[in-house]
Amino acid sequence: MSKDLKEPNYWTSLEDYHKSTPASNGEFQEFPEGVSEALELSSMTDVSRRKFLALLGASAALAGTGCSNYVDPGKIVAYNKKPVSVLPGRANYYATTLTEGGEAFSVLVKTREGRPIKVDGNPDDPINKGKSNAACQASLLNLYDPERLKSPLQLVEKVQKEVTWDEANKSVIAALAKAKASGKQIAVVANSIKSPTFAKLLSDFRAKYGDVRVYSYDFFNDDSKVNAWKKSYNQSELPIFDWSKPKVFLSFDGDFLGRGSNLVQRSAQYVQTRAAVDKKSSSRTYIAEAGMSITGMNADHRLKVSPTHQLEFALCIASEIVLKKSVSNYSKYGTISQLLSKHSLSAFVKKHGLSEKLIHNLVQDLVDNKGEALVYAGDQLPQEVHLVVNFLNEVLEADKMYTEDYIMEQVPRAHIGDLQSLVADMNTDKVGVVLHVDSNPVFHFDGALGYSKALTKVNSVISVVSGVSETSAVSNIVLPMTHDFESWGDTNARVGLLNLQQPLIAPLYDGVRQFEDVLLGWMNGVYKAQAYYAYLQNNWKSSYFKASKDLKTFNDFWGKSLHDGVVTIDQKFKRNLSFNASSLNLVSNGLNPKDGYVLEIQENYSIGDGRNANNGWLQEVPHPVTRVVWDNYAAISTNTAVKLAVEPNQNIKITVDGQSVVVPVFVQPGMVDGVIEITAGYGRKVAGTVGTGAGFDVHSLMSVKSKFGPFVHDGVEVVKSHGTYDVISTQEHFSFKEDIPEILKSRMKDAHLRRDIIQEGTLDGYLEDEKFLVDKQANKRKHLFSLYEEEHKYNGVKWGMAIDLNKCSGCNECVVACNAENNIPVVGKEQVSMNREMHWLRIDRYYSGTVDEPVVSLQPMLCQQCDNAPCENVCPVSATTHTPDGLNGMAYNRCVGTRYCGNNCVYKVRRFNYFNYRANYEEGFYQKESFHLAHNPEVTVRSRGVMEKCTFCVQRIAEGRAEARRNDEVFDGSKVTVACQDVCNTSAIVFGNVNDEKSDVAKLRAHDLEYKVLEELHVKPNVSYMAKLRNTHKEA
Amino acid sequence: MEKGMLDYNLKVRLPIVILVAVMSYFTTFFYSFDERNGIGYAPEQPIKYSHKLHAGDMKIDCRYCHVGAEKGRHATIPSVDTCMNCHSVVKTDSPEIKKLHKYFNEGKALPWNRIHRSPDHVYFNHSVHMAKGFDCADCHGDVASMEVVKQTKLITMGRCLDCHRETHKETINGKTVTKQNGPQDCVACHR
Repeated sequence: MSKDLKEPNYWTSLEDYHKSTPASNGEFQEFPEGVSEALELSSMTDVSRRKFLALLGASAALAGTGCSNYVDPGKIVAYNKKPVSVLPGRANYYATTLTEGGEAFSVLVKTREGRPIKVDGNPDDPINKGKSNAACQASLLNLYDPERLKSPLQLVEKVQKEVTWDEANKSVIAALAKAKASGKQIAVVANSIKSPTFAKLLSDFRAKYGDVRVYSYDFFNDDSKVNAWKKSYNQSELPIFDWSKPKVFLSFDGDFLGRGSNLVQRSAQYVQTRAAVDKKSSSRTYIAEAGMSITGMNADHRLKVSPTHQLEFALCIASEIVLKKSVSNYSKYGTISQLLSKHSLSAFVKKHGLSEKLIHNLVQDLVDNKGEALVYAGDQLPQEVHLVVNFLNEVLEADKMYTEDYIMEQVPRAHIGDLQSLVADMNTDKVGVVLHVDSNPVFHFDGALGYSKALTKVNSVISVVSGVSETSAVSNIVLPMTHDFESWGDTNARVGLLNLQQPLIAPLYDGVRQFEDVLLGWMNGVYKAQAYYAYLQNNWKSSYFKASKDLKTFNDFWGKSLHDGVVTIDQKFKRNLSFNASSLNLVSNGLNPKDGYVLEIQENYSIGDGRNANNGWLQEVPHPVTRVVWDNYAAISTNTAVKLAVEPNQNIKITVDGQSVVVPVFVQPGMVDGVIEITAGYGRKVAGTVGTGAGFDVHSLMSVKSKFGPFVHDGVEVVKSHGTYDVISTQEHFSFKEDIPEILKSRMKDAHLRRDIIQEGTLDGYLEDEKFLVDKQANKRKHLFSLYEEEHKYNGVKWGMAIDLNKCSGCNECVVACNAENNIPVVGKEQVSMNREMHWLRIDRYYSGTVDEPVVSLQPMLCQQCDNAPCENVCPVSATTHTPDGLNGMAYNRCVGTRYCGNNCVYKVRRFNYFNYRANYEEGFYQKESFHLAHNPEVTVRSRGVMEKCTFCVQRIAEGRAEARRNDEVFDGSKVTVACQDVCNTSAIVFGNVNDEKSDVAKLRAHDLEYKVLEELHVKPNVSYMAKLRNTHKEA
Repeated sequence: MEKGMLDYNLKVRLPIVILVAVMSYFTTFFYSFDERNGIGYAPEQPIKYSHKLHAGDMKIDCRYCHVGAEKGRHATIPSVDTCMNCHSVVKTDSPEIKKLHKYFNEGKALPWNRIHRSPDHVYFNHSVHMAKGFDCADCHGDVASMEVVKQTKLITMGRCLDCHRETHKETINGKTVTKQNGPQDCVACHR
């Protein structure tokens, strides 16, 4: 690690680092190949310029005479009976619940004229406090997906044919009755069930149809953690940790800022421990991991440890703390001291080439902060690691930081073993009906468990889906279901907390029905729409309603619950935190990895377990570390690449337990040698236009025989395979490159290194000299002068943004929120490869240090709304102009697409519509009628030939101003928030009126850590960045 | 050098052609200005609703039907059930009201012909102008005297700016200041 962080050598990619890559074509150009090369006269047609102009003029004149009709004002079609709450042009907000990837989110949905257009967290929710995640933001595309199944399908002579609901229901009821009569099992395979009323409904279903077994699984789960907890504390419920309390974090391959459940709350709590503008102390984070994760990017110290050595590492740390430092009485426990004495940290450090000093500091930090140190391990690691982690937390007395909050399951979750026994039952003809409820086990378990082969032995396979999937493709009956925004429901995902789910829009298609209604129909013999609504109300009446002073009747209670979306109830777990020391004996044999490569399969950051594969926003959002879009890949280290003799994008063949997969290579700085990291969830084969074929299906590698669990495999064979595959990363887009004309070289070389685009320091350095940045920045401004006698004054409101780099984890959720708010199109992988992604907001990631030990800096980059905006001066048609409140405005209708502004932009944040992307992507997929409903009507939908960029959500500013005017208030801008700010889990983005001294943004602008990017150009940007302070150990 | 046909064409014919073209363009432009901008546009409506009767003689406030004018961007056209508030009992045997009843009973929306229209790229906000104390007639003309509604005033950017550019006096904290009527930056209306 670079010792002096004030002057690191930043690099953005490996090509950049080595600086020896042969120049590719058009390297210096800001615009990609073929866009701005010199004209090749020989390759042009022989129509002369004059002739062409004459033809153009004549055809324009002709067209002009043809279009002589005046604009028809059209019709205004008013409602027949207007719903009371709907007023055209005004948004309504409804609280509801969205179940996404095994988690329930209480959300507040903005609807316009009855259609949901934006999803945000519910501010009344005590857990997420108004924050949400990328999947919630993008759930709109799932709702409006034109490829949702619109009618039931039934297998007739080996072909799935559309049938009516009555026919489908009749077949299902017959199949269920037959299974019951023959005493066979009815298996319900679902994702984890958070709804108490649905769980009740399933038990009623069991009462009616006999042997109904529910297998509720999450593909990415914390089973190993829960199992370990059960053994350590004799309790299967795992209390939630209060992440705002620790002063030292040690994570064993646990990406606690990027993966796993409860991420929103956890990230928000974690940043509270970090140094910030008003906090001059910070937690210190150590992570030992193989691949580079979000937590790895943000950690103060990163250690490189293979997932197969994590157990040994954890035991060595425990041995050091308990035996050498005698932190607790456990050294007196015979069995434990015997076990720990076998492990030596110094030997481990030597063997794996870790820094002795760093490890020494780590142990010292843990010991010094006893009671305020937390040890954590990744969900993908085997149970044994979690047992040692529980022990370490016990020794370090972290139990004081456990809350009494628990994540609830309404139906016990099925583990991989339960699914194995289901497959065994299917193979031995014990299962009569398999009912898949919005789950996709064929995609997940076909390779590892032989799931689809087992399904062929089952008489009736029924799948309830929203769109076609691998599982629905092998089903006898496929039933379309409603989206969460079209359904009634409830969740009890946290102890003591109920969420109510209400429909925000009628089902978009006639043939779509809420599954619970259908299930009630199977039980009662007759389908009735809204039957589940009554069932839900009855359950709430009997289970949760208690008359109180404020809420006398059930209707009052129901109305308030609908309004708030969250209800607290009297529900508690009896917590048991007495540690069972004998549990540690389970790790006495250790886990010795076999020779060969190690494969680590990780949860991907965007599309969940594959369920969001058909969602373009999530496919196109870049991977937080590698910035790769639309794909997964095999991440390997440079040394491994050399050893395998592969270049980036070269295919390699990975074989685990006889199953092999061919995947392209991505060389990732900071990877552990000999480890291959792949994210799962990609590679859907039956998913719809967007998702089918994106990425590689690696689930078949997840053999259940591995002693490290299904996510980590040792003894993996890897060989170079034929061919290459383009993995597209957005990191190098819009950057200055090395190979530039000689004359410019001295000026442009290492531009981003020398220009202090990233400024950071250490906490210790900051405490010594709080003004270290102030002088540096002032120095830059010294030589600046203005061409104008008097600088323009901004009276009244002036907008500004401050982004705290201490808080930003680089998770990309703001990018998706911006897409949803501002009607940003999906362009597709091919267009992204030509630098044409349309995201108004990007997260720039810079590496510094070496390839083996990179240090990562992150920076959200968006339009800086410069006071002296260079883009404005060059617009020939004044399409981009300044507003009195300091915005760099865009009048899209005026833009003629010269791209001068994009060329002149210092920050490269302007995006050009090379096509009408909605029409261009996959033959107009995103132009289909249903997607019109998803657009924000307050934002222009840009067409081809128009330049676009961030305008600080000017539509929200306009609405705020109008609201103030209507209420006869002075508009001070305090109520306006922007979309990226709303979603930011760590509240890194602050927006407001910089002229208002009391506003947060004004305070941040005056702070010592504040700097602006490229201030020396005197463009006077209005986005401030708070320099990151790393809390690296003094002696590191 | 001998003067050729080309010189004649360039020196005599071309200027004449250009002159005629330009003159006819400007004449047409000038004379069709109002019509092009919709002045006088009075289409036949699906129901012969009289603003003169309702807003003029009966003195019903505009905002009784156009409920959005004070609350949001759009003034809104009343839904059929708003008409039925009165017409479920008033004049039920008139042929026009029978048409209305038919729409209402069939649950069909009423396709009114739009008269005042600003283009899609204009984000005009009714409520802001109402809050500023504008009268509907300032932009829409004296609708209360019209049997059939027609456009009498221009809705062009020029006309918006005519007003936005002017100033008015306002008293803030006891001080009288001169303020611009409205913003003049592009983003105020276009975004």
